[in-house]
Amino acid sequence: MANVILSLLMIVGGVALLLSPQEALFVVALALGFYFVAYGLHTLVYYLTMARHMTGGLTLLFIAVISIDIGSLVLAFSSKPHASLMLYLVGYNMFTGVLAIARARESKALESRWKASLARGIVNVALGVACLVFIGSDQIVTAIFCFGLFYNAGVRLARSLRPTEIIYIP
Amino acid sequence: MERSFHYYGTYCAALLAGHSHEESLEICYSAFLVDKCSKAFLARIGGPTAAATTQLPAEMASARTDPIGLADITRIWASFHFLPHDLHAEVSKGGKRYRNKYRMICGPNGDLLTDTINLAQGKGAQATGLALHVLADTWAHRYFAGTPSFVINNTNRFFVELVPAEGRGFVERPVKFKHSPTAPDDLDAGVYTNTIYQPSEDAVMNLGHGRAGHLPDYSFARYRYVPAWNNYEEVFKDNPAEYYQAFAQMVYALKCLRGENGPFRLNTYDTEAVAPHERLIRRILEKRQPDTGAIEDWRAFGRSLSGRDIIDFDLDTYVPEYLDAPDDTKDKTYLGKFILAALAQKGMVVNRVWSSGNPLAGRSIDYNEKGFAGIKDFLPLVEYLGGGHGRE
Repeated sequence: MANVILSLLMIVGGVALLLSPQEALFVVALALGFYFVAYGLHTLVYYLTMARHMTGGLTLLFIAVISIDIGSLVLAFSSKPHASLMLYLVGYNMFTGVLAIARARESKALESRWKASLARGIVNVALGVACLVFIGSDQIVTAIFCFGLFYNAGVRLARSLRPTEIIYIP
Repeated sequence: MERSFHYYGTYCAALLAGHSHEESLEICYSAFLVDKCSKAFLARIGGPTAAATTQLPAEMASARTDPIGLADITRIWASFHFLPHDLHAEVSKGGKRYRNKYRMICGPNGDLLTDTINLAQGKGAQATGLALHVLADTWAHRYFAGTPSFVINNTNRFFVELVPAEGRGFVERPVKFKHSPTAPDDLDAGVYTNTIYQPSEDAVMNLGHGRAGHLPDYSFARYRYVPAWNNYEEVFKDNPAEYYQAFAQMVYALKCLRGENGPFRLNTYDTEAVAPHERLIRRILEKRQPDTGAIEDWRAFGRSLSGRDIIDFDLDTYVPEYLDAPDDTKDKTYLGKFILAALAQKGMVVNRVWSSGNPLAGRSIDYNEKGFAGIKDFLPLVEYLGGGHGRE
């Protein structure tokens, strides 16, 4: 249910952004910044108290530092929401794109399904590149962000409405 | 461990301990029922859901990971599948939260195992089978904790399987993990399904040996890996050898429960009773095959011991008896006794964990000190465990 509500909020937010881009962009930039900083701090505390004692726990420190950096950067540019949003879009799309391509390669090596993941990765990377190419255009950056919102809302909605399979190891 | 060992293996152990065919069937049914008695099953028969001994995929998917939800998960998995080895283990690193997670790591021959066997003493086949399941899993699930924990249960890419090679002993082969829950493990290629990497402490993906897939459950598996909790040092797990020890300990525990060996002692194995069958048992344990194959081998061994066939496990076998029984005699039925044994085991483990200063399994109230102030499903235990002297 929480996923359904979040999906609907994302769609409403996307529409509001399209109708009133300047005000909505500012709020989005602030929310993004605070989210990343809060997540980074939470992960940092988790690293210091728990994860630094585990094998491979250093990854958590990297995640924490990068999250705080991104959040701080977004907040610093919140008066210029266009720049914050552009940074977020480039970072998010590039990161998820590379991750999806890596997953596709891994799946292909295991002779599992890989084409959908590769396609998703290529689209993400292409969106990241588009943000860089059209860096001066408010309209295109806003449109790409809204596209991402609608796409993610759709995926989230579809996931929340179908049975969820997880692995159970007795 | 899987059906082959919990059901058919337990049947054979019970026979070797001196039980009859019928008694052995009752014991092994209970041993495997531990893997099937979910909240959904208990709700279907109108039993107390607090007695759940496992969680189904859908239940896991909807499980909350707030402190209450985590306690519910931990009560089930730590009590029946990942019995903590040492609740007072010295931990030289991390704070209290890390220490609490570390102390939930499962292992054989811990004090809680003695408590588990003693609890089953004189309580019938249901409690005996349940205790044997817990005992067997302390070997299979060694090094993993029955609570969601990224810092304890995570594994990394250094995971190597030792595969027998003709005339050359063993060859090492990196284990490949995939995340498709529907695809079966590929034993020949060494590709196993595990849970998804989720760097979040309390994610259910980090429960038990999820990150190592079903590998710990295969009796033939020999593997080396680097546990998250072990300071970058690897551990070696020799399942055929350890499962054999588990089997010998099960026979010993069964004889204790029959009153033949005196009180249960840790690190004691009835190798004498098992020795005449050692080659056959080791051959079954070492054979690289899916569980269906192992079932046939154990079944044949059981048949050779009793001269009788082992009926397949059917979850509904005792359901009509339970449903048809009047409310005041349900506790006397097979499932009623199993439910009481499960509640007793869960109550005991939660109490030990809570008493050690560890809140992960939730709060435990001592009946003798404060009377009955807990989940009402546990009320029948007052009579089952001998009355106590709590304040009503």
